[in-house]
Amino acid sequence: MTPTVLAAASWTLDLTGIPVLDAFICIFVVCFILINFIAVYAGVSTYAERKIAGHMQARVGPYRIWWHGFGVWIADALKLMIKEDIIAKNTDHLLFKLSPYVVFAGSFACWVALPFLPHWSPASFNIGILYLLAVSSAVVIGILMAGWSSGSKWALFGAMRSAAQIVSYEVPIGITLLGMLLIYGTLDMHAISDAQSKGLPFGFMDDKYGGLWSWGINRYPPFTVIAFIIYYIGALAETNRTPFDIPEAESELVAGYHTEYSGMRFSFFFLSEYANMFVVSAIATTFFLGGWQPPVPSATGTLYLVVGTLVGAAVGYGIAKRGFDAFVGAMLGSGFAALVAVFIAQPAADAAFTGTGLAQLVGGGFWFFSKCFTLIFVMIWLRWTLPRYRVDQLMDLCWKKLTPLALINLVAIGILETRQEWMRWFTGGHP
Amino acid sequence: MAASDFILNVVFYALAAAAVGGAVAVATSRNIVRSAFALLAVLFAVAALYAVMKADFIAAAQVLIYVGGILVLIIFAVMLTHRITDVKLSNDSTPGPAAFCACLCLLFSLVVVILFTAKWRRDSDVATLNNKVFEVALRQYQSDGSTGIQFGGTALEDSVVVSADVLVVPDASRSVDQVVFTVSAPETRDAGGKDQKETPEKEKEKEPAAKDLDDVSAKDVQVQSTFLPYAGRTQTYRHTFEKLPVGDYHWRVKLVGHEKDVKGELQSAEWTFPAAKTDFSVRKGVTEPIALALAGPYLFAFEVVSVLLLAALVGAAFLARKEVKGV
Repeated sequence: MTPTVLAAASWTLDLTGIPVLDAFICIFVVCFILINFIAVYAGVSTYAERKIAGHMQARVGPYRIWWHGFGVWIADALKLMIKEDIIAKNTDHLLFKLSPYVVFAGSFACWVALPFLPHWSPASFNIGILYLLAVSSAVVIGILMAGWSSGSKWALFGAMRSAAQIVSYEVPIGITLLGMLLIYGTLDMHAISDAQSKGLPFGFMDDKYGGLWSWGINRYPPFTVIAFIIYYIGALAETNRTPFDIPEAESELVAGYHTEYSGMRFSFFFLSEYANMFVVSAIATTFFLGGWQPPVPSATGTLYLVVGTLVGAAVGYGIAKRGFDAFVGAMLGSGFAALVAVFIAQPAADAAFTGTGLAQLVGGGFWFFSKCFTLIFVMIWLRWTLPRYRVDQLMDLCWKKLTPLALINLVAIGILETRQEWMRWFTGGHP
Repeated sequence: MAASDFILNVVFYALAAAAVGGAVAVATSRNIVRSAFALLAVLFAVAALYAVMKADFIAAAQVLIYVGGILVLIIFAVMLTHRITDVKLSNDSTPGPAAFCACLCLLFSLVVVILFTAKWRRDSDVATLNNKVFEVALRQYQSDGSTGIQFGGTALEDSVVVSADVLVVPDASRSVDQVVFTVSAPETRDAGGKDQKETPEKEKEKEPAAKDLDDVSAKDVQVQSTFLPYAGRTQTYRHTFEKLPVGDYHWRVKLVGHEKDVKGELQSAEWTFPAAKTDFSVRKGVTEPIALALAGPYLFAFEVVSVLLLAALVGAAFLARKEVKGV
């Protein structure tokens, strides 16, 4: 039998007649596409980040290259590629050269298990989330490697801070995800997404309603909402984003663990950071926001949503032009109108949205990426809103606030999930 | 399949070489930080070997516990230690040849133990049924090939493939036309989730309920025409039972064919096989089988792992201790 290399056998093509070789070729092709997608996505994200930062600070951001400065990320990438690769004398050369790859491999390996499309991900695992948590630990090792091998105290401090932070915040994240796993009863990312297709909060009316109300975040409010918030805070810390970016605090540590890196080697850390942002957003999407499930699983609901978003954007843009920033106005307007549209639309499941055709595939991909990019947008938004935490505040938040809260949450969700057993116990076997 | 096997062998030996090479680097490197990082290669290579052996869950657990937990702890301790890179390793004091011989002895005993005590099976649960005319090896596994966790014949909800390798004793007097799988109905699990203990009486009660699942065997008749042009050849039959409800199942196999009687005329015949180890259970999702396995037969092993973490903690504390000068 051919084992794990054929894990994705459902989509392996018949190219050479040798199953394992076919699988390897398909894996290579998919990885090639994924790596290029990560590179483009990271580039566009940097552009978005600079543009959003600019508008939040009443500037326009990059504006020189192409339409509204859109070409700036390509110029940045070209600059990084042709920059001189400097390796300082005091470094441990082998580990210094190796660490960018370890960091990038750790965050890239997560991508193969993400449920991008309905029932399709690059590799099918039935232990999806466990795999994600496991391979992302390579990032910590890579960061420690980079910090130690740089032979610089700034890099070492940054690496130690980063590792301490990531290891600490894995605890509330793990406990939170454990609580959600109690609900879903599976580690498979697609099965988790499937489990959020129907039902109302607290398990009412299992088959009638779908969409927004069936998502994990609405399963046992307020506990699942708290779980989502804890996860999101932890995700911010895991990706070293503001307000938890003490590992690369510019005012204290120059640039943290990648102080000594330049050119392409630096860009690997950079890519890895943005890749990680997507991964944690994708996990949050899958666990709490229904994965590729649409918020309104009916044709009329989708129409409401699209029209509402466009009208909201236009109105927000129009109002904001007189006072605030037009870009921010359009963003807020479309978001608000989309929410209103979702609330107005009946969230009843429509037969057309439960099939497995091309429309559902495209729609599922659209919703998955929309949710992920919304979460990434919030990350960027927070970065330009909140000041940086101190190290002691960060640890205080993690160990004294988030972890106990996550534990209480876990117990609460567990009790709610087993409520029938509890009822039977209280009533002496007569529900 | 030969080419596939060759590629898999190459993969296996590459991973094994990475594991052994990393281990040698851990032991021989003069720099303790480099040793710690070489451990990363060993742990990942071993995890990959688990993955090659279809044990996805074990591979993920290996990376999660060893890389994410123990290795980070070790590297942390090493880095927090003052001027650790100046410290010469204590390995120097051990005479090389003696250490080599000791390692060889340990390796030899390990190999002996592995070869002679472990039960190696190609599939997680193979039941060989034999009625002296045909040998039928029955297997069950999941259809997607990524059978990450299978502890004692626990299959996942989605689909279960039941296959039979039918080996016919070279004898022209017999022919088999059909392989009939029968899956008896699941024991219904009540809403409380409590498993009901199997009793022989209940098995009898299940028989009427098995009717609808018997129907799936009708599909196996489709392979009838391609079956056994000649005897003495192994044929594999597969059937996928999709969306089996959660529960415990039994399955049996029956061969239907022809046999020459004393006068040399073909008579239709049936061969049934004694039900030996043909149980499997379908569980919801992945978490429940893991929990059942960890809290059941593997409880002791699971708890012993914590001793390993304790050892890592003690080692880290030992490495991080302050050097007291002049004592």
